[in-house]
Amino acid sequence: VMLPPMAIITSILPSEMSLPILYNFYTSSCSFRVRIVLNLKKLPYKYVPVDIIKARQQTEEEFTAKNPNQKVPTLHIHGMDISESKVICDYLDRTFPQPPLYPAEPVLNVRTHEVCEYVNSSIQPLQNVAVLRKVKKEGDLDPVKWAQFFIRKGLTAISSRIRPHRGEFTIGDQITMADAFLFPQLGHARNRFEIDVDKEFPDLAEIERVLSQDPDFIAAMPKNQPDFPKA
Amino acid sequence: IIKATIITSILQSEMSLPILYNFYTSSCSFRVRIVLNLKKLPYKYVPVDIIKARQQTEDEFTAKNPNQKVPTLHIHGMDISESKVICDYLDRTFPQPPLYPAEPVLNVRTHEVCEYVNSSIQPLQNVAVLRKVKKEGDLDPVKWAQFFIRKGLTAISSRIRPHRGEFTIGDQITMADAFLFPQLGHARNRFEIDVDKEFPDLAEIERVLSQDPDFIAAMPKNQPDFPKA
Repeated sequence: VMLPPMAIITSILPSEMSLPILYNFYTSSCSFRVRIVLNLKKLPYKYVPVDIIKARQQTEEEFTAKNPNQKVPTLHIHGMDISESKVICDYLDRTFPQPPLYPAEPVLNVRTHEVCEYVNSSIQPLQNVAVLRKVKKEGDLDPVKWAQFFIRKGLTAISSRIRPHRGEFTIGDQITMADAFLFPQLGHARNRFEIDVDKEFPDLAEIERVLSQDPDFIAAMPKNQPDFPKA
Repeated sequence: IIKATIITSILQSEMSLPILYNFYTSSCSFRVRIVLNLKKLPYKYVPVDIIKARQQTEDEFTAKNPNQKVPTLHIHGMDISESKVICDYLDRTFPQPPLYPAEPVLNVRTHEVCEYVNSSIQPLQNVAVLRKVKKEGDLDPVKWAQFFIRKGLTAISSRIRPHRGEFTIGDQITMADAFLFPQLGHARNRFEIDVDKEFPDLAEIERVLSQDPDFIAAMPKNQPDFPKA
């Protein structure tokens, strides 16, 4: 297992007291986005796992005080707790401007934000753990089919939206926030929801291949996190 | 009262107006209408009937927004989709009045409230999802929506508690008000939630905002595509 270079996870040293703390979960795609951004910005952080599946630690009082929406990720930084991955990522991008994760050119800037929001509000909320539990338990529906519907719709929209703007990456030839949001979603599409990304979205699969070679993305992958289950 | 909308014949001066493709009852569209009004920006209102005619699936509209949703704003030569993206573009491009506080914690909290609505509440109670839960899951769409709305409003209520003033965050109108107000309207009118009883703090903010001319002008009942009696 490759240890993430930017996370310090063991005993609390005085120098760690001022590190940002990321409450997250290895398999959470929203957490994955923030891990990517922290790595791209070369920001060390303390990794605190919150088991949202088995132990449902997100419902505990201490965590709810940090994020009343009871979700990961939550980032403790500069004396405050920030919830919502888009809010966290944008805060990091504004506060640590290098490298910039939004293009300066207005249309590309807007398209980058759009891709993030297509993932953040059109796709992921419809396939997160809580919703899938509900559709299965109350509606007796196949959660995989449910998720596939929304993922396909969203990825189709993204594919179309970025077509005029694609370069080596989602938007142009630099890594942007769109890559940080799209890459984890593609991982879920493949690994959790049985979507043949190579066949159905070859353009997105191409971007995914490039990003999967990037050290900042690799270090953020679920399999490289401290709470990834040991074999 | 329809302030800042020009809906009739296409005049020369209208050729350069922003065009808002939206629907009177869409809460996401309502957010953008509020912001356009707060920024004193006139615009052309083009209704897209997302319920009966399902116009959002037509080719011409899909070209503007491949996600087939309202609102979509045509401005400065481009089509912008996603209400948070539109609203933030407007706030950056037309800085007065500023809709995000300068102070970092308040700035973050304002964005958080918007995202709680934008990604935790509304997507779980929009028209397409409710159709699906009813048709495929045989579930009561109102109960489904109530679950997510209550959870989200509870989170918002808690998050803003240290920061509330006359408005959601502090004593100036912010983007949080533009996102919260339409959601409270849906909670009451479509999903039978007694906001006054369950969320009295939010109901208080709602009362104040319901007196604001920019919010009034953006209300569903004041839009050109609101069904005539």
